[in-house]
This record gives sequence, C-alpha cells and structure tokens, in this order.
Amino acid sequence: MNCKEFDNWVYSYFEGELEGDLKISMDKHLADCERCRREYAALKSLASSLSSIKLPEVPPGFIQRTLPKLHITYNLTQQSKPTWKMFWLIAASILFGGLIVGVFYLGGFAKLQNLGFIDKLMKISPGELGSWQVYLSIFLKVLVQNPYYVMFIAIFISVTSILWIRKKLAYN
Amino acid sequence: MEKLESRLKNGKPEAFRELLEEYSPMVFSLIDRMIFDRTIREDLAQEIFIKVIENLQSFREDSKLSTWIYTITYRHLIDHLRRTRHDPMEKTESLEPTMSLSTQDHPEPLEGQRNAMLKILDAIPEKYRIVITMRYLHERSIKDISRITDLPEGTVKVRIHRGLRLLRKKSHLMEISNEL
Ligand SMILES: [Zn+2]
Repeated sequence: MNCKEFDNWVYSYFEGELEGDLKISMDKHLADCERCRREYAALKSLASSLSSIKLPEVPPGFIQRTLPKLHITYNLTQQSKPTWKMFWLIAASILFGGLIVGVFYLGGFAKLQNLGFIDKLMKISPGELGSWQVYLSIFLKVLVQNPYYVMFIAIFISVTSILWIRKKLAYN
Repeated sequence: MEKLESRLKNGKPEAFRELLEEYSPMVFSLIDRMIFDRTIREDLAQEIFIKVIENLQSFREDSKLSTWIYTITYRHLIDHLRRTRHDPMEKTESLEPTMSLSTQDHPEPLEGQRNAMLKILDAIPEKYRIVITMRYLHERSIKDISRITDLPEGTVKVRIHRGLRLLRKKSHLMEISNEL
C-alpha cells in the first residue's frame, strides 16, 4: 500500500469500518510510514477536539417563552385531527341510526313483534323485575306507541354525526 | 415512566417542558452552525418546536424520537436557507461567513479552545460543516446522518473526510497567523 491509497481509505479506517486484508495493509502502512502516522494522528485529534465542543447555552427564558406556544399548537392540531377511534365511533352511530330506521320504518318492527319479545316485556308489571328491565319495558312501550319519535331520534343522530365529521375534516 | 413521545402525544403538560429542556441545546447548536444571522435564532428554534408538536401524530413509535426531531430541525433550517437565498432582500447576508463576522456574532464570549475550533468550523463550506457538526458535535452515526440529510452514506463519509481535511488546513493557517 502507498500513501495515496492510505489517504483514500483513512476515514473508513478511522470509523472502524474496514475488515480483513484491507485493514491489515492499513495497519501495516501506518506502522511503517511516518508521514501517514502524522496524518492519522492529526485526524484523530481533530475529531476529538470537535467532539469535545459543548452545546450552547439555551437563551434565558426561552423555555418559558416557548411553552405556551406549544400548548396552543397542541390544542389546535388535536382539535382539527379526528383520530381513527373517533371516526369509527361516528361510523357506528350512523349505522346504529340507520338500523333503527330500518327496523321501525321499513317493517322490521313487525318482525320483532312477531317474535313475541316485545309483547312479553310489555306485559311485565313494574315491581315484578329488576329496575333496568322495568325501564327498558317503559322505553319500548313509548317507542312502539310513537314510531315517529324513533325516526326523529335516528335522523337527528345521523345528521349531527355527518355535520360533525364534515366540520372536523374541513380543518385538514 | 411512560416514554416522552407517548406523553407528548397525550398532551401531558410536563412532557412539553421536558421536550424543550432535553432538545433545545441540540436545536440551538444546529441553528448556530447553519444560520449565521444571530437575530433570528430564537424564532427559528420556536418554529422548530412548533413543527414537532404539529407533526406529533405522524411520528411512528418504531423510530427514534431524537432522530425524528433532528430531522425536523435540519429540514426546517434547510428550508429557511433556501427561502432566504432566493429572496434578494437578504442577499447582503453572506453565505459563507468570514472569520471576523462569526466571532462578532457570537452573543456571549466562549472559552478559547471552543471559540477557535468553532471559528474554523464556521469558515468551511456549508456542505462539509453540516455533516461534521452532526457527526462530531452531536455524535450522530453515519447511518443517521444519511437518513436525516437524505444523502447516500458514501456521500456523507466523503463530505466528512473532505471537511476534516479542510479543517486541518485551516487550523494550520490559524496556528501560523497566531504565531505571527
Ligand atoms: Zn504513507
């Protein structure tokens, strides 16, 4: 190996990236050649004095001045980006609204009645069962007797969800 | 303790302070080596941290937070350089500073050794100065530097090597001029 070749490889050698024969010839040249030994030592000492440079001091008060801006930025970006969780929640509520409309409005309600489930619940008198079943039976009675309420609630849920999604997406 | 990145994503107030305390020295250090207009260093640092917060949701948990923040910092500064270089109003600001300019511009007096080394470093061309800053002042790996700068690893190594040679030449000149 000559000095020119040594110079070509010296940085990779210094970074410890050379292996095998190439590394051995570099070692050998370094041991034999005064000039390259000096060059290599200079490279090493330059790198180490660069590494010893300390990072600058942060201007006094910088953190205090910057913190409120970061909080504002966080609040703005979080509000304008619907997460996937929220997206699925909204999708589910639309589906739910649609299902209710389907069941009550498109005749599915009659099928439910045919199953006898609702009749059975409606015959239960208060006090006979635990409280949640009483509330459910009252709720179902109201819904069965007033199908327009159901439609209204379902459409309200769907429309507000859609409007909400559109508002969220408009920020992006 | 939950990782800083997830506490940031969840908006934990103490996480923002921790982010600033941990990364400000590095951010200011890179600003100082890339942008010589000292009047805007704090504005730039704030813009960088705001960008970090704005892009939190796009940070992937499998990457390293420090590399990600470093990349945002570097790209923001490169954008700034491009913008100001195309703006003829700012043309008076020289791209490669002269040695005397960079000494006056340091806001606080620095210890001798560091000051001398930084003066020489600031006097070499930007493309060498940036990779040398990343490799030695900030101890980034060659692989990291290649990812951050979007340059092939080979190019990064060649630039570091050439930069070191230039630094060596300049430091020789400095020693000679000091002796005179
Ligand atoms: Zn030699």
